[in-house]
Amino acid sequence: MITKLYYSAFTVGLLFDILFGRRLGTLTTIYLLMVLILDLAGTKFHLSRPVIIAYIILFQILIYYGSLFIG
Amino acid sequence: MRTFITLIFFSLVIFFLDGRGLLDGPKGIVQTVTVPVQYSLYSAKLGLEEVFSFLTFWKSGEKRIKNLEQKNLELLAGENKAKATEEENIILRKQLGVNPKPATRLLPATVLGTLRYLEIGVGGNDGVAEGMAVIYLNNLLGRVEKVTPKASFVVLLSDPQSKVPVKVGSARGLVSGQFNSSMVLDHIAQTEEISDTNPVLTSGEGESFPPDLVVGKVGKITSVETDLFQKAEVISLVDVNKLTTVFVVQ
Repeated sequence: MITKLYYSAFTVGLLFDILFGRRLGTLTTIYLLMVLILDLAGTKFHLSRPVIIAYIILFQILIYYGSLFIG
Repeated sequence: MRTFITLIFFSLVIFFLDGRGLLDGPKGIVQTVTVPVQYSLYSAKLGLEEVFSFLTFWKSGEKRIKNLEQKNLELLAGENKAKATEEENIILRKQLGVNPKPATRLLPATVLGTLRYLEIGVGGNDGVAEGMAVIYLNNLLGRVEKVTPKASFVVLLSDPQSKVPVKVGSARGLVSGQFNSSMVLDHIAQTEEISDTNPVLTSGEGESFPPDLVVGKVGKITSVETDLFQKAEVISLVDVNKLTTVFVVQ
C-alpha cells in the first residue's frame, strides 16, 4: 500500500473542492477511491510505483478537465 | 487499508459537515488564499483563449466588423430616442406626482470561474444573500444560489434550475434553462405575436428578479400551431465565459 499517495489524494481533493467550489469532501472521496482501485490493480497486475503514479496523474487530469466541462 | 478507511471516514465527515454549513468559518479563512489564486487562474484562462481566438479571427472578422458597424449606427439612433423618452418619462412622473423608481445598489464582483455555476469573489461578508440577481450591463446573468463568506455561486439562466418570468412585447412567458447551454421561452399564448425584434425582459413577477432586465433575444420558434403554448429559443446577448466583472443587485 502506497500510504503517501492516499494522503496526497486527500489533500489535493480537498484543495480542488475549494478551488472548484464543490462541497468539501466530494473530490477527496473520488480521489481516495481512485487511488485504492489503482493500488489494488497495481498489486494484482504487478505494476511498479511509477506506473501507478502515472495513472493517478492521468486520472487527475481527466477529472480536472471533466470538472471544467461538466461542472 | 487502514489509512484508506481512516481518510475516507474523514472525507465523509467533512462532506457531511460542509453540507450542514458547519465549515463556513474555516472555509472563509482558506478562501482568503484561494480566491486570489482562482481569480489569477481564471484571468490566465481568458488571456489564453483571447490569443487563440485571434488565430481564427481572420476567417469571419471583416464581415463581423461590417455587421457591427451597421448595428452600432442603429443603436446610436436608438440611444438618442431612448434618452428623449427617458427625459419625457421623468417630466411626466413629476407632473403626475409618481415617485421615482427606487435606486438599486450594485455590488461589483470579480468572476472566479464558470463551471456549472458562476463563481464570484464576493460573499456573505460583503452583504450578498441567496436569491439576489446578478447582472452585467443591465443583462440578467442569474441569481445567487449559495453564499460562502468570501465567494458566492450564481445559477446561470441556462441552468435547468433556472426559471425566470419574462415579457416579450406585450406577451408574458417563462424562460427556462436547458442543459447549461441554452434557454427556452415557453408559456406564451398562441394568440400573442413574438418576434426577434423585441428583447426578452424580466417581468418582475413573483419578485424573483427586478423588472426590465435583459434576458436575451428571441431566436428560432420551435413550437407548432397545434401546441398549447408557443415555444422559442432565447439567445443571450452576453458571453458568460468571457466576463471578468459582474454586479450583484442588492
